[in-house]
Amino acid sequence: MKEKYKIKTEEYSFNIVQSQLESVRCKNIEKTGYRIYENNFLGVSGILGEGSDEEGYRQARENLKLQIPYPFEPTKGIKKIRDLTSEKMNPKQMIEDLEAYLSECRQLYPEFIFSNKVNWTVITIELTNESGTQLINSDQYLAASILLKHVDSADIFESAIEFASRSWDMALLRKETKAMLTGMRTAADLPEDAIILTNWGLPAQKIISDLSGKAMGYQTSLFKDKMGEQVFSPEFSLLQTSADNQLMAPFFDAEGTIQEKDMPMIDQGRIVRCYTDKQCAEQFGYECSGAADGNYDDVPTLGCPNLDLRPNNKTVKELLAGHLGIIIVAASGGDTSPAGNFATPVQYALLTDGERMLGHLPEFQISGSIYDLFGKDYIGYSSDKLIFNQNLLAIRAKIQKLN
Amino acid sequence: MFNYPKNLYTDVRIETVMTTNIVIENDQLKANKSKREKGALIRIYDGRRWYYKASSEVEKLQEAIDELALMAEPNEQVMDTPVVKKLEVNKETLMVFDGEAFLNVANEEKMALVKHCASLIDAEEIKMWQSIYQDRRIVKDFYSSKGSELHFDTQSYAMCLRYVIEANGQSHGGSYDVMGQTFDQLLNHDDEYKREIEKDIEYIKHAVPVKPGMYTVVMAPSVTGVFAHESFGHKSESDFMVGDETMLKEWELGRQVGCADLSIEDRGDWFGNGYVPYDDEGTKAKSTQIITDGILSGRLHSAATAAALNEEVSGNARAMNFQFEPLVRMTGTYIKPGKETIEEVFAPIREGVYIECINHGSGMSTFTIAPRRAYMIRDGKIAEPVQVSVITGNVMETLYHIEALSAHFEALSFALGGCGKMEQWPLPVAFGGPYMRVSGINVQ
Repeated sequence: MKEKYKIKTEEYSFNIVQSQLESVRCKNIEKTGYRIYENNFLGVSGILGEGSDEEGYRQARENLKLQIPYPFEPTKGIKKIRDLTSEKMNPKQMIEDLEAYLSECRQLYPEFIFSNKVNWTVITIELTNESGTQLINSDQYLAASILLKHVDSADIFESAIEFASRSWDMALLRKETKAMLTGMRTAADLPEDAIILTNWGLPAQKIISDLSGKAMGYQTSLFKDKMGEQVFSPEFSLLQTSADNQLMAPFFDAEGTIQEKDMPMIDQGRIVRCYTDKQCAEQFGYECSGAADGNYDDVPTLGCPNLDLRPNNKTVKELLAGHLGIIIVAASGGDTSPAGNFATPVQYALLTDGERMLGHLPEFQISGSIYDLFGKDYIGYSSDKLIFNQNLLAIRAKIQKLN
Repeated sequence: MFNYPKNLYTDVRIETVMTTNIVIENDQLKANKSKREKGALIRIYDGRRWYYKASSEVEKLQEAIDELALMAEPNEQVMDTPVVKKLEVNKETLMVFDGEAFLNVANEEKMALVKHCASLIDAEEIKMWQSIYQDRRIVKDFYSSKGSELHFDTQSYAMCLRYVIEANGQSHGGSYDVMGQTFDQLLNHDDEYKREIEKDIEYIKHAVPVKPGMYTVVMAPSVTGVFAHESFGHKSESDFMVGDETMLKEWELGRQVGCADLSIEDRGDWFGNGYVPYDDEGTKAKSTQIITDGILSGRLHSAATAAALNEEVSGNARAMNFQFEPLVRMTGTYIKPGKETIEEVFAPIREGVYIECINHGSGMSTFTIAPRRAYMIRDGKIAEPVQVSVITGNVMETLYHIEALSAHFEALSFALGGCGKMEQWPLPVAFGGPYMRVSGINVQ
């Protein structure tokens, strides 16, 4: 049985140096993986760029000799195409848009230096096989990662405009820029009693890694004895999702397993599932969640699927309920201990009342047990996108001033 | 080789990459892949802006050059611009490694090594493990409209064990890597693997949470190396300084930035993961003294940053692969050794923390290191194991708090990881240093 797994990436990458557009990079790369299923083994090969399918399959058949066990059926007889692309962008227009944006920034925010990247990427992933399966997912996104520093700062950078959007949305770029720069222009004191607002993944790395089917199955997960138990706040639900509103979350994984609807891993605080590929599901008797990953020419293995929290139908303002909020902008170098104690320095953060950016804060550290952060100290996941074009996690954590 | 567009600067970097990846995970063969990929990055400069195109169609590079040139504005003076003037013209074939031997190591030999290393894992506390073999040979060809013609190679082999230990209801990740430039260098390291596994098991069985606070810390050489890379190496990458008066003033050469015993160097002619005989715009490898005796004495450059700061290129313009343009990156970065014995480094500490190895590190104005194994130091001796989430410190203050450096020095490379900068990760780098005693570190 033959199967082909193709990833096509078209990208324009615009580099900003000293608030000027410095370079443009064009990328158009096609990678094709070839798979032969035979006698419970999988032979794989790959071709970068143009190549003949005949040669790809010949090499994959040759590689069957390596005897990589793969006693699983390919996905059969499913045809589904999802095309989430809409705009066909041309680089000339994008250059004009960014030059106009940067010109405005130089005028409006002359005391700040802008640098780094704005990328526009279109990715098509296609899996087809002789069993009548054809799965195609096309998506596009703008990814802004514009570093900011005050002209008087001796730091490499202080803050960043970071967001992703499915459209080439210059109005959103301007809105995000205004929100961040408004906060950066005023220094604020670190409040003693404030709610942390952050990208949910920052404090949840341990939860994500330990919900792997392998970690659960091999009994190395912090949650190995907690399947089915109420471990976290009833307000906290973690989903594997490939819904249309998620960026770059194909509806099928590298094995062709299709995810039709959101799949809770943690449902109202109760651990109900772990993420798995076909191998992991069979080995440990779990449901296959469709989390196979790998390079285009790999035998698929368990990866980390697209995960998101279920919003709590409250805006940031409502989640704060009159308290001040601290939006974490840059926090690198943190980690979680084997017992689940999370700590990270926060290099840059903004103070907010849930609507306005009130100022930026000195460096500090946050810490807490993940059982508390997502338990008694969990407040919610916002329904609105105050900044970063994403929902914000609201939690209480121990806040400690640095230096 | 190519018909370069008139009145534009053009260079072409073609990479041929041969790799093998074999993985056995908990007795199951997960990967056994050998492949050869070829791709190119074209750069065109018109004196105002750079244009890049990454292509896997190496047979059609002339077409790609012509197409990319349409985006640029021809400039009769382009070859006289400061950036183009800084670009070196080098012509050399520098094939240091034995490419034939690389191809001649049979897959069966590699598989036998992976299986042998897997057999070293027999402790019941290890619940999940991987035995990983990786080799990589890269042949680069570089051509420029200024006249450069380069043909050179880099090569590495790595054998790694990754494992998760479960004890006392907690899990702990462990690893041990062996790197080499030949396959034979990966052989006969059983004692090292066994010792590391035993150490990790003992550690997780007995480690207790550290009492948070400010401590004097001793870093092992690998940790010192990562500290040098994260805390100061990135700050010496001069693309962060271009056009920025404050940064230039703050990082003025000749300024004291650390204690008098501190010297940091970056060099691309070291064998290991930082071996970069020519960088990705054709500049020959050089040694850059970043800090000499506590004084800021140099920085890392591409042609663009060297031109902007009126300094010399340093061979540090590096790209992760052909899909990316070069940025200013480190190669092999290390803190130079001092004079003290290892015992003397520990001796004066009544209560402190020893960081033996790490999971990861990062650095901005505040550096952080997440230890993998840490121990209390009591009365100058290594004592009980402790769990530490992160250690942090202000970079500029910490460089003055270095109290002792050992004469013992180690150079290392991460076998499977590397350095990240913006969108480009992982870039192979080397690092190193001595045992280092530093006061005033925040331990959590």
